Amino acid sequence: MSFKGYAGKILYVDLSRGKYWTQNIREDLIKAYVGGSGLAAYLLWNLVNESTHPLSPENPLIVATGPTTGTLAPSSGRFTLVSKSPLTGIWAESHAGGFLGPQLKYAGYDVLVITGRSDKPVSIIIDDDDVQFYDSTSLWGLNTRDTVNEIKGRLGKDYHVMCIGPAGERLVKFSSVMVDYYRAFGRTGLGAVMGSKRLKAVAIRGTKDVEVYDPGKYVEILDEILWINKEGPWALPAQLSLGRYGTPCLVTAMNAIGRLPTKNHWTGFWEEADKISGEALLRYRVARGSCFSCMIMCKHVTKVDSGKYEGAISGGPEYESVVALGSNLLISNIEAIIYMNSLCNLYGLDTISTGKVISFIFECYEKGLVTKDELGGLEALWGNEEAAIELIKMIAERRGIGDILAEGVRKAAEAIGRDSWKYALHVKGLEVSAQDPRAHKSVGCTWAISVRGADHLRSLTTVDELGYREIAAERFGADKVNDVCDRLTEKYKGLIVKDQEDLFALVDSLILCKYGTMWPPMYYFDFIAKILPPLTGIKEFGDVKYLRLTAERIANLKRCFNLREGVGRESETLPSRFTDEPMPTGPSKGHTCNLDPMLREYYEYRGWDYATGLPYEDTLIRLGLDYVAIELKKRYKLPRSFDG
Amino acid sequence: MVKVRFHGALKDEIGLDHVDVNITQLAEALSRLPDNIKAVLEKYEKYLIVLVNGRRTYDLNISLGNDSVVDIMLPLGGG
Repeated sequence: MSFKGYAGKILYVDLSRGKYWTQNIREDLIKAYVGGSGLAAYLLWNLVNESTHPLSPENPLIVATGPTTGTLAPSSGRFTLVSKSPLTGIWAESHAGGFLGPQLKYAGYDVLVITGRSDKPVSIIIDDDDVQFYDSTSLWGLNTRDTVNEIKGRLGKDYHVMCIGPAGERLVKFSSVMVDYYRAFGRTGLGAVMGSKRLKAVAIRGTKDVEVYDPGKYVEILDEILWINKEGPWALPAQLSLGRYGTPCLVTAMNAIGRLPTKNHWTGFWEEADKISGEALLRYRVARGSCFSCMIMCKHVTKVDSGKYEGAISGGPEYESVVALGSNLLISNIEAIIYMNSLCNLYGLDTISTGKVISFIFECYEKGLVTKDELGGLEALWGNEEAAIELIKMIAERRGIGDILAEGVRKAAEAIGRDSWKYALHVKGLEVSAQDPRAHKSVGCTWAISVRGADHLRSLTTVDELGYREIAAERFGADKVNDVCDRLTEKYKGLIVKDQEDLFALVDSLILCKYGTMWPPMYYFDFIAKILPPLTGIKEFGDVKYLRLTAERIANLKRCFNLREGVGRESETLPSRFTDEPMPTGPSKGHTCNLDPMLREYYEYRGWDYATGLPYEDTLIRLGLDYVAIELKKRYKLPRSFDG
Repeated sequence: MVKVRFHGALKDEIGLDHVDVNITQLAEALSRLPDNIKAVLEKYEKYLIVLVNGRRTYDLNISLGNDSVVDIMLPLGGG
């Protein structure tokens, strides 16, 4: 490959046949999809169809890096896992930090595609050009920490490992894939995809170089980035919030605006929020670290030194986990939250979905929709940390009610019936994240349109979270600032969500961390246009218009993937809790989320037809997605924007 | 009585999570804070985010109702 920044190869592994091979990446695909989840989207589109079952051998697990991975670009340690989700049946994408992504690049591969199913538990060991299949029967059943210890013990500490725990082995639909000890591919059930393949782990060590096109120019830009991170306008705020407290710095701030999910999102304000804040967690911190090439250093490791949960050690817990396992369950004991976070990591469970499944069953119990007998004698009362802990174990082990809950909140509500659907908070089958669209209206649009489901990482906007007027003016124009920055209006929220979705589609293809792009908003399209040409030698990447078009292409491809699965406009809804139940307490009291105007606006900016929920055919052609249009037309009549 | 709450690094440096003041105009309420608190707020003045009853305000001359809550924090965001 003539482009730099890339290894230039895809490694394919077929577990059914125990074989592997490589393929050079076509340069036109790089120009069109960049890498990371963009390139993975193209590959997944071509590797599956609507009849591919997510837990079948045919469903691939795609591990992808981007051109910035392993090159000292800022916050470039993340990499992505892509597949069809066993939880939702649609697009599955998750990102994890740490150091494994660069190892894949250094081993000589931009992407790893795993298909098939092994006869017995296996791990894939990649050591540059050498790929081995390692009988992992003795590892099956181990938690993720013991798995990583075993593998590193046998192979050496210079290997980095991604693995599943017992939850993935038992095909829990929201099981995660852990990376080394403290990072996770959390959402959409990718642990179950690995489990269905009897794939326990992937361990990688790479020793090759990654070439940069213009090292001198690239280093100049890295110097600029160093300045941005150390002395730029966002440097101090980032260090004093994310750097000092990690993501839990958000807890009391979100409570202050009435957006802290409390009691299964019944309300957004909790008097006990201080007990689970970033400040409260500080006394448990034993280590602070960063991902590869990151100066923000938001990873905090916490440990409980005494008492009931003595010995519990956890990466994080992050804001989402603190909320899902804390305020969402009315559990204020921070040590119990650290313990539950650790338990989820050891079992390999997505903390967000786990917390929301538990709060679902807590509310069902409160409302008399399930009995103590049905819960195996558990008193599923709000604030009952013992019950929450036991439910985590039951879910991971698929015991009793845990077997139903392990299917996710949508299927659990179907199984339980009795109007329990009202308390099953999900969009497209993915449990909601730690925001509330009644207190931050654009979240409603974000959740509804996100290709994963109720997801905060495909397009969460922060310009309206606390009101960053200068950024809003720069990106959307001074005339729109007042409405853009007002978290309680719907106006222009479709626009800003679409813009953020495009930005993140590109960021997730490079791959850069959301901390630096979502918040603090240091890097935007113009920055990406500066860093990519000296890295890759691809001149087109220096043109902001080209990058925006590329971003739109990737975002549209992912949306069309779901359309091909038969999931479209009718699924872009919100749980009635957010649309019909006014926020009962707190600073956002009285508000509901009116999704419709935001959705209409989003569709207009996205170049899709709101009435049919379909892309205009000319939108797809403009974006070079003719092959997608051809395929969709087998199922749908695509409108054209110039039709009367 | 107006409650003025401090968050994150401000709370840690000030050593308090809130103070109560009996003033109904924001600028005056902030000017009546103890000197040690004012010193910390002045240190980070260009970064401060001020919320009144959960809503961001850029106007320090606004009136405060009884039982208003003023939150002062440094910029942050995300999810």
